[in-house]
Amino acid sequence: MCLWRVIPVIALCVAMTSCSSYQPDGDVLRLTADGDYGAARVLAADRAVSDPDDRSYMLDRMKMLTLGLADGVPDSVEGVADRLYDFLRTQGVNADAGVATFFVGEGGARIWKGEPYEQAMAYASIAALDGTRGDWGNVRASATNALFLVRDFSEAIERGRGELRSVPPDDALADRQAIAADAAVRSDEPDFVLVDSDFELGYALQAVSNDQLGLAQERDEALERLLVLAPRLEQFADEIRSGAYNAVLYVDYGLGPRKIGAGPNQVFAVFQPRTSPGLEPLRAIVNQSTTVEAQVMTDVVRMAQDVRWNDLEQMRRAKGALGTALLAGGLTALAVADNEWVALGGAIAAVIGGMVKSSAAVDTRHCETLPQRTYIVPVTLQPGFNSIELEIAGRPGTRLILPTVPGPAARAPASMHYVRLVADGSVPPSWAVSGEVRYANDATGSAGPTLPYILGGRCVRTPTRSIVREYHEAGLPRRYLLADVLEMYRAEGIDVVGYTDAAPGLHVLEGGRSLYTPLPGSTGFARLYGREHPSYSSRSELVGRVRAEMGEVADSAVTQPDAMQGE
Amino acid sequence: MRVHQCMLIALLGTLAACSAPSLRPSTLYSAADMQIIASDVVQSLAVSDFLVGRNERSDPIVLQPDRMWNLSNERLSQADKLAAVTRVLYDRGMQELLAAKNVAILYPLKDRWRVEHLTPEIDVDPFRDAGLDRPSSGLRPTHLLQAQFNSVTRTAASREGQASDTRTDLFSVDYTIVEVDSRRIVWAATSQVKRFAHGSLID
Repeated sequence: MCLWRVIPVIALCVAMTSCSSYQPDGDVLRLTADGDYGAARVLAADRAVSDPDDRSYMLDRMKMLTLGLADGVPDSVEGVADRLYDFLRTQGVNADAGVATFFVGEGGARIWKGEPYEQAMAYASIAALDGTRGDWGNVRASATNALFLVRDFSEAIERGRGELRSVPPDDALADRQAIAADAAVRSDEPDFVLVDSDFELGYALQAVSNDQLGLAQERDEALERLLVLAPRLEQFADEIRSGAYNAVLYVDYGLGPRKIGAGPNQVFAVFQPRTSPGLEPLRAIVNQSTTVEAQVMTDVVRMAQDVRWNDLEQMRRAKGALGTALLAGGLTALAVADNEWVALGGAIAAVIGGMVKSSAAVDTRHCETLPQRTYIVPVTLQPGFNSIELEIAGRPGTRLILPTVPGPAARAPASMHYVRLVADGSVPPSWAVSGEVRYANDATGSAGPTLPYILGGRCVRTPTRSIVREYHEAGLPRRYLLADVLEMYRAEGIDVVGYTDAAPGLHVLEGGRSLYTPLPGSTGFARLYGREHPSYSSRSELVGRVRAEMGEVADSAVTQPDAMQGE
Repeated sequence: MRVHQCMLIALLGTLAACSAPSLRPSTLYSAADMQIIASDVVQSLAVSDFLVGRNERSDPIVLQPDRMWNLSNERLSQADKLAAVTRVLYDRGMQELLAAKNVAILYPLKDRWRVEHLTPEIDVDPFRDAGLDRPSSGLRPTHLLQAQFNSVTRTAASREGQASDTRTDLFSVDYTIVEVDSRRIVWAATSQVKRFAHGSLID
């Protein structure tokens, strides 16, 4: 036996089989869990691949969409949503990837389209974006597409139950989900039947949008199906049917499940919760007077762990077995061969076996910024700004006060407000519960004359002539006009989003170089304006000169936070 | 050629083949569909009773594009929605015809910006040259051009017991011109396109 021949080949095969799988972006995850959606959004966009032919291009767009929504800047991801929708609706994206998948694995050959549950959630996110713009026709269309037929493997799983019992209960990798999936694809008989979707969120969005479009029959059909799936949502159905609401809160919470490989050759996809699942209701207090309790609409972990929402790849298991056989046979031939050609053939077989074996592993790419659960809450808002307090029962860290949720205009369709609760911690961040608006912004305006933030004041509004007149009252020398203020922003390298086509980056209040106002009523709005930020340090000579000229009068001229509340 | 060389070449060929992912079609409503429908509708409007009886001395009409209602199973981008009505009004022949019939077009400034930025394929210059995009202070619309988008969707599996892999969408766009004061529909037309696509819907 020639060990010197075998060792390098084994080393090569080990290197191949231990090829790194997808690594979720830890920084983005941490920021998202902390509710720091602005930084998470910017980081995700910076790290997103820019080549549309890249196989992870759409995965990165999906993250950008979810975080743009969370940060209250849906307009900035409108193009992303357009592209993602077109992609989701494109059929047979991976139709040609079969052979390549065999050799290089799913991650290297298949364009990421997501597991079926990720696709459904992507449609729902697009619907949320359109909902924030009052586009109920598009909400309806996305919700309808989210309700695609799914494959029900329950019969195949039932047939495989005998094998399930034989699995040692302490085997960590023998996750029930993986074995159920295995049982489902192992059968020689038809593996599944196509059944209607059980995606509660899709039916709920369909019902609300049909209601807003005056399609009562379609609304009732959607609600009927929803109640069959989730009788706990009866109160929601009653409220939609009665039409006694003029706004809908689309509330996401937590982080979606982690996808990892399990089983022999990592051929099975297993979904582990990042945020613990549960059915705790969400309590919403509107204007400190009306309390609404909403049940969980959809638990994403439940979907991910349900075989019908997974994309089972039968090829993986066969590949794992073939790879093992080739590897073992090749190494044996290599070790015992007394002919160089046989040894070469053995080495090639072993290397190919290693490749096939390593590529049998499941593609663990997944959208880590999805929420763990979603609530849909119909509420009645007053004209002007409304205060809404949200908290999930038993999870005090989720408490969030939104002081400026705009009520819909008279005779206008209902409005939709997207809110993402903070995922981590037993205590909510201070900004989440301050209920204050401490900086003048484009949505709520200013309670009195104040200087721009870059000049030491509290105004982060898009400059206009009338706003510059307020700056004059607050102490800005009158010879500085609108063009001069814009020039100051330019000199500081700050994009005033209202004057450019630039997408909003990190806000100037958070140390970034972008001036914009998130949607009032969004989590991003509460985070930006609900807390104190450090004083601005100017970078340019121009702004430094203007500040010196004013003698740093800003501190005495700023508007007091309390005066701005509830505007 | 040696055996292992052949295997290596075959392997490299396979890897090269899988490095060029290509998108398969869908039944999505496309810009080309919009062009077909707009052309159809332009012709219908040109020969309609609404315009045929008019001349340059007729009572002036101020036509404003109104919103597009999407009741289809397909999400439409903001650009698509705008283009559905602007493609009819930006048609050069239609502009000349409307001018000859004493029909002015009132276009909201914000929408004009969107048209120019979101639908660059639409040539706005003729519209601008004709003076039809002037801010018309005091001018109020007498008529609204509206569109409603509908569709019927069918999905099926090409083999029994398999997941859906064929989809057919019949898109129908209903155009109407409504007299603002009376809310009377003075012109209506419908145009349809049908699209079929094959390939796994889920993948």
